[in-house]
Amino acid sequence: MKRIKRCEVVLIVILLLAIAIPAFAEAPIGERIDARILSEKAITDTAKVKIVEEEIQKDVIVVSVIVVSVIVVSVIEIPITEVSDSSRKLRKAVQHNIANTNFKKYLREGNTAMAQNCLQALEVDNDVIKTLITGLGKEVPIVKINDFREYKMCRSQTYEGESDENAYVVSDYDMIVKVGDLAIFNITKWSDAIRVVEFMKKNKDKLSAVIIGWGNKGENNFYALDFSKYEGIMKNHEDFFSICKAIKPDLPVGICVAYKDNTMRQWLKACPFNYDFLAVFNINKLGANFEKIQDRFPNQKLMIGGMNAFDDLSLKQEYGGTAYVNYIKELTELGYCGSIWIK
Amino acid sequence: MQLKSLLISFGLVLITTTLLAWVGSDPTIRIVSPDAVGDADTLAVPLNIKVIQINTAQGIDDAEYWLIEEADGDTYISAAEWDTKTVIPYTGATIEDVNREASFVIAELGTDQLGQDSSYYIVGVGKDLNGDFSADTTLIHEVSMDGDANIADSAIVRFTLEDTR
Repeated sequence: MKRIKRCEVVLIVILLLAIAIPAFAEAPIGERIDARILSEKAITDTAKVKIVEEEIQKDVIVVSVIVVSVIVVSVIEIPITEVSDSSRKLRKAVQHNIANTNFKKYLREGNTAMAQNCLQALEVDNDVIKTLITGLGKEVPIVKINDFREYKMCRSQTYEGESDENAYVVSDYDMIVKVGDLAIFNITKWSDAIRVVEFMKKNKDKLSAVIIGWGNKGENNFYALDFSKYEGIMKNHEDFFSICKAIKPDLPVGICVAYKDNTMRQWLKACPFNYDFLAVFNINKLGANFEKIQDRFPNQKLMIGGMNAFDDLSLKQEYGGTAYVNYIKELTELGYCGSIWIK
Repeated sequence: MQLKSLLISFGLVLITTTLLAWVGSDPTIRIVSPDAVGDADTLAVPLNIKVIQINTAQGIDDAEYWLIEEADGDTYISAAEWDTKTVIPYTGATIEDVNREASFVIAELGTDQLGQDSSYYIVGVGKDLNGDFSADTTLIHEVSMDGDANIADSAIVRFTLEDTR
């Protein structure tokens, strides 16, 4: 083996430092916080908040120094206030995020007292908390869905405010919900379980159904091929299912399943709760064999989750035409509970 | 806009963007015997036609297979040859709901269907539950035994009859 000379070692070290120093210096605050929480093994909330505050201070100081050194003092009063305001908001957001993580953890553990504490700490309305806590842990029967509903969703899949839009992935928890809407929650870390609690309490009587798990940034049975991960992903679904059912037990709550022959059975097998219906994705053509699709999910209520969901817009089908009318008729006759048309 | 709202919006854009790509199918029709990749089998009758139909995504609704006699000695299915195609296994029925890695026999062809020293093609096309086909049959004429962008090599086979048993 070739012997490395001393000067080569020095060169390598310099190169590594050249790569590492900017990477560290430019790391976003979120990454720095995560890295410190891991490296310092911060378990308690107090330790986590301390790290968060320290990291925020680092950013505030850097910005202030730059501004002070370049601009006259009287001009910088407002920027500093803004920085300070931003840091307060960021701190609040991070605290909320930690509370949200803890809230989900306590929900899973069935620790309603601590879950309640999380909500109270964030000043969630007492009535909302009471409704949730009263409903948690109760047995809920599967909702019998007898009617068929047609939904329309924008291609962005989040709410665009169009008059005929009645299905969307909830991104703004303060949005105005219309009667009969279908709300969809994804279960990634971006989803805020605490805000979902408030959203559900506020809109429970307007919503016609809820779907849990949509896309999920790859945590679905289309992209995730490792079956051993399904149980964990389904636990995330269960958090949101519990919230929805605790607040409105008779509201139909479904989960998403991609029609993927080699994963869909394992996906559903990993689900620990009794969902009311399945929103079947990966079926997007009006001419699909809906009878056979129904046969593949015996004794389940199905909704076609993404009709017309084409990447290639030239493949888009006509809404309301003969093929569409026949499609709705067929689904109704076969006993499906709905269809989401991607506009 | 608060940073958190911004992060959530950004996250949701990422999540929902990937969702529309969350559609796909990978139907495969493979004619195992005669060998569709080698396209050089010289066989005797009766011969079994063995295939694999697999689609890990949108499943297999049904599949159709056609027998075409080679008329001009080349390795292409001409439009005229394609017009003479007959459905295997001659019942007019499609082969439904078979979606698996294991091969299976779809027909045994004898002297009623095959002539001595003649060459033939077999073409297979599958349909998934979404209503998509593994190949467009309107584009199959003038296709080589090696397939093309429309139909895979494994779904089109050319073979020659050696002798009657």
